[in-house]
Amino acid sequence: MDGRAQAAASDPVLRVRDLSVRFDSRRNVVHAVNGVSFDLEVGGALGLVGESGSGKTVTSLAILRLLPRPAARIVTGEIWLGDRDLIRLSDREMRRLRGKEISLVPQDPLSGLNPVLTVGEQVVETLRAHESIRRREARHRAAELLGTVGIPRPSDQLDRYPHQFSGGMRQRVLIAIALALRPTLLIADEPTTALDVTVQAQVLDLLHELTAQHGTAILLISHDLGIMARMTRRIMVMYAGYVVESAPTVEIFARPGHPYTAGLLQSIPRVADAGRPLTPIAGSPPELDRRPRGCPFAPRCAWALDVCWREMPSLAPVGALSFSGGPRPVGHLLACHNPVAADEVEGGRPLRPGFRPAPPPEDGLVAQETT
Amino acid sequence: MINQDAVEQGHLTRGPAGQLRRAPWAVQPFLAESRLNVLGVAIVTLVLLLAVFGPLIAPENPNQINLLAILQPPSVHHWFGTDNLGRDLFSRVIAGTRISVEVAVIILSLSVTFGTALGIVSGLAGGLVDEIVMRVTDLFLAFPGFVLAAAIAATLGPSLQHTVLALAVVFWPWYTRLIRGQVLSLREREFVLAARVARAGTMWIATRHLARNVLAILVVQVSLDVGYAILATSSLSFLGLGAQPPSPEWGAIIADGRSYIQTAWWWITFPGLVLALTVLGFNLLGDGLRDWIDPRLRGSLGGVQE
Amino acid sequence: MGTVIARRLAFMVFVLWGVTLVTFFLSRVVPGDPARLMAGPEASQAAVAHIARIYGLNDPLIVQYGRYMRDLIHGNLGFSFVTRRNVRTDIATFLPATIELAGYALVVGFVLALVTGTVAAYRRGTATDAAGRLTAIAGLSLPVFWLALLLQLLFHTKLGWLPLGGRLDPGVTPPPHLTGLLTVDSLLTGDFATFVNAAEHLVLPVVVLAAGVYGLMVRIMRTSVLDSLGEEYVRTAEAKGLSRWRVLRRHVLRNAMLPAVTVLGLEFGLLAAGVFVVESVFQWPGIGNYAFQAIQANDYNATIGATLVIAIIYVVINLIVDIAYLYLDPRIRYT
Repeated sequence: MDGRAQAAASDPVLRVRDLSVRFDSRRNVVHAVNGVSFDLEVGGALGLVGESGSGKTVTSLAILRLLPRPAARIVTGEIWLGDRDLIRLSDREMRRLRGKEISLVPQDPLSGLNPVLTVGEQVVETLRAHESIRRREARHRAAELLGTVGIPRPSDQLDRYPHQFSGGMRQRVLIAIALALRPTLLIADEPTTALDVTVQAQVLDLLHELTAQHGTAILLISHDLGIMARMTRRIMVMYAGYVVESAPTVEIFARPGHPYTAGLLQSIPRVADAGRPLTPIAGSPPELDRRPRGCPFAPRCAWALDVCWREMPSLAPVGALSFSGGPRPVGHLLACHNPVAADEVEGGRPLRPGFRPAPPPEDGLVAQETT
Repeated sequence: MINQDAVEQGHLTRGPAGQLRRAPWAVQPFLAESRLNVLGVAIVTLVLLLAVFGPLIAPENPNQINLLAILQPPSVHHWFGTDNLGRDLFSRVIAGTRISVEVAVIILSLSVTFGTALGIVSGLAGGLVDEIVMRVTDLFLAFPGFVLAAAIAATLGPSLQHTVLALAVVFWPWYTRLIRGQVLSLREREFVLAARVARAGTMWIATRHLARNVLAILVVQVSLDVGYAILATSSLSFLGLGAQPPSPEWGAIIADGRSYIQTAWWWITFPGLVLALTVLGFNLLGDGLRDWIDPRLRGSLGGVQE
Repeated sequence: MGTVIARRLAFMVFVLWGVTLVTFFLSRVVPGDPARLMAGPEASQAAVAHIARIYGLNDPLIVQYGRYMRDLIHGNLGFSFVTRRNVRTDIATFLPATIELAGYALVVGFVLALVTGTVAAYRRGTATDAAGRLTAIAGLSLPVFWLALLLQLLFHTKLGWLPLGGRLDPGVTPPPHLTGLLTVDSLLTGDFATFVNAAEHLVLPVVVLAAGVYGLMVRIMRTSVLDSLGEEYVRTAEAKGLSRWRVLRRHVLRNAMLPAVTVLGLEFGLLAAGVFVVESVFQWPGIGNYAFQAIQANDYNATIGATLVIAIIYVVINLIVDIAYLYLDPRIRYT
């Protein structure tokens, strides 16, 4: 690990507390992120998983302070990077952190790179934005960086344009750019979604290797639980802007508590299940401009009780179920009135005899909120 | 990322390439979308009303010469003042409204009909026919439009009729290209799809789909082109190639007033203002329709909702 | 890439040929007697017959066309009975003035559109954006000739700030003819006073022409800047910690300019149209005015000659723009 002027190694590199983000448009208000809190330790690997609209990307943008203005606002919360609250920082201070302390590997390598600049120029500008080095030296380092991400003959590739590379290669370039200045935190937003399956594994391995090497903490965002397995030590499941479950990766896969998590697991296609129909989660993500009175997942939940429609469950540790030891209570957090039992995970539906999910109450499902 | 509001309001459909489109005939929401739309519709309505009912409103005969009241500044009797022959400019401008609208209608009827027909034929026929038509169209489009119209009008002899013809010649290629493009993109989707699904009714489905999508685009283009047609006609008349005296066509009026610009500022100001507002109105309308039918679905959320 | 350019060139040749065909058609197949029209309304019967003979107007059309093309290739555009000179000489004399005027108009309009379009995109949905849209539509809607007259009325007649027309005040001697562009020539020869005078005379006509250029370009700029802003690479650039200015310049604008280039051709069309009227109103001694006078005087050779030259310039410029676009986008340059 680098001898960075941080607090002791046991302190988290990133601490998010009660983050809420809201989008105001001409006609309505969207609560994209609601009261999200989590820690990420130095060199750690945390996965944020959820469907579109779950708030995972907005969370990452909030950390980077790259939310679209003036539409989006951080309503409450603190984001601590070491000993600085990012929300309180000025634009200029934030800019100095971006690329250097926190960096981003974006989603789509095709549009993530500027098509009219050469690959070399795009790596060089990252370096020169934060260090005063000469162009020639920057090019030299750029070539080195491209080499570390596995691009063959890097010095020759510097002057080529993004469209001349394959998707996997482009993603490697983006990774090189993100890790160029050895950041403390790397945010990877769907880093493999746009890639072929065969290339996905390579890119993930690369990310894993490099972040381990530099001691960079990684926040991995995806809708794909599958890639979380190899990359992360802990997973946070988000739905409709809320954290619904947060636990070590092993537990998420072995003993998910939230029906949504169980649903996500069910819908991962597995080679062993070839021939059997896929079980997607019924229904679609909620519209975010209405704040649910109860749990936002209730309309799609096979475990729904009456109370689920009326009262929002709070995120609380599931003490009896967690089984990790270690010097720190890692904890399995869950926000659910009626969690999934261990034997129900395989089937994907409740096994209690005669159980039917509770229907929505007559007095309206949601509380409307206007601007 | 779909703007939920537009979906909720219920008039969102899918175009042939899967793009989202809104119905042009949903008048109320169109007006609600922007104040500029309201302005455009208001101006166009006023212009059309003047064109139809003009002669009833005009206080005087536009060609009535009154040598006792030459070069009068605007007053209660003559809202726009009078010209060097004592003619009431307000009445002349109103008469000019009818001329402009008529002219625009004729020009666009000719060019749209011819251009669209040719475009459909070319798009459906394909092969050599398509190739030839496109080359000819490209040839016409390669000329700077106004210059071509001026040359034609000058050759045939300056008159309003010749100007109309000249402008029809300039406008038609745009429609051919536009319609042909639509036909081609639709042909890709509809025929292939329908051929797989059902034999019967392919022609019917195709023509209905074609008509609906083409119509929307046509409406937008025509609204814009009415403005340009009026503008071009006036410009050509100003240059002496279009309407000849004593026609109260706007461009001609302004041309007449040019020599008196120092002494009778009202002569060029008011007719020009009316002309400018008319063209503005049609442009606002066309512009608004274009934004409305193919909205940039990029709401103020900046495309981020995850 | 090479084949694409070759095809464009071939097409341009085809179009140029078509242009000559159309202008020939216009010049010969007219109602009335071409010989009379060429000789001018004042000419005597003998003169008309003489003209008919030397121009071979009684020969079959094909032969006439052949002769016409041959003349064209040699640069012979006929004789203007108004100026009593070769049309070619006339055009060479008047073209620089138009180039100066149109050149400045293009630059001014383009820069204004760039700035306004970018600001409107960044401030999307606000009053600034709406104001930008309104000015754009105004630029496209205002009749050029009316705007010209109005500005003349205001700034010369009422306020006396700017001259009525022409390129220089009557008493001022023009600089030596280096480029034909008075502003450039006077600067090159260090004649500052003349430069100022020439610039004064340029203000109004340039503003009028630039309005149209602006109107067309600003919406395109706004749209393409918006498109650019929505792309992932802008976020990547911001995430690198680049300054907002850098992101704007290197990432947003460089991409946003590409679609704007495609519109340049149309801009020249607008300029070609505007030039006729603006030069007429401001007595600007350029091709537009020359063509206009020719039309008024029924000077056939001059009219057709000027039309032909303008059309040819337009076609060539469109080709250059097309090819330039192919080069500017690396995705196309290195396929």
